[in-house]
Amino acid sequence: MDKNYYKQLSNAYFEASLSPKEERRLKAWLAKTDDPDFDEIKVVAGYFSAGRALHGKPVAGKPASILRFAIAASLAAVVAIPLITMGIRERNRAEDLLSMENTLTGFFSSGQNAENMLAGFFDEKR
Amino acid sequence: MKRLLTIIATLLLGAAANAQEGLFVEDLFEGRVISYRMMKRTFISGAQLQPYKLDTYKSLSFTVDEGKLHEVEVMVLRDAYDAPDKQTDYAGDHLTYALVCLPPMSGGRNRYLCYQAKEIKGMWDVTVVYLRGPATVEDLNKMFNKKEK
Repeated sequence: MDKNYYKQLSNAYFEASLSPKEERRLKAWLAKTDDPDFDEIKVVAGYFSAGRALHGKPVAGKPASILRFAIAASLAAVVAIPLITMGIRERNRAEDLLSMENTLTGFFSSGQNAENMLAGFFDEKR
Repeated sequence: MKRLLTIIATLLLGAAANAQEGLFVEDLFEGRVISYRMMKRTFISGAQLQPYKLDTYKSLSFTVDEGKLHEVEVMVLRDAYDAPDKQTDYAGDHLTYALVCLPPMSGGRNRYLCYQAKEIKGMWDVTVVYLRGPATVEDLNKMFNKKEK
């Protein structure tokens, strides 16, 4: 079966609309492929496997899709929050440096030439 | 007990070294003259300042009335008094510009105090900057004096 078929299965996996048989087929494919297009699904599927191994089957009566959605959302949050925080920090740093440049340009471009001001000082000492 | 006292002394020395090294404007930077809520503060230190040959940049911007402006002026002028070199400009009785080369620290780290005040409708917009690092005045001039270019 070709890559497109497994891509469709991957999409269906995220929508929680796979049959158990299709899911097994997809996981068998994921175990042997190195295609980077499947990295994302590998991470999520691996997380589910680990979760199932630890906690057994989902609680009866609770739709599996909600559980999957919750886990996927948690994973997304775990990845996204540090990235967003880093992004904000980087932006603040860039803004601070820009503010510093503007302030210092204001100081050193106004008044006398700051370089000349030292000249008098050194001349006095000579 | 001796060890405890040594640790406390080391911590206090560290805190002192982190401040504006015994300057009068230290009170200003510590929020003891004007509340932090009334000012815009920018503190930068570390590797990001390396391209500017600096290791510390601290700036305060605030708007004050004439009375408070006088307090700030006095602090800047007292720090400038013993400075090896300084440049000051006045408008009437008020200090409007100061670039003060403070005595350098050990390890060849230079220190500068910059001050600028502009009157806007009876109030004063003031900016005070403290710089520390190996940068010389020539370096700072090359980097930031746009009139020269």
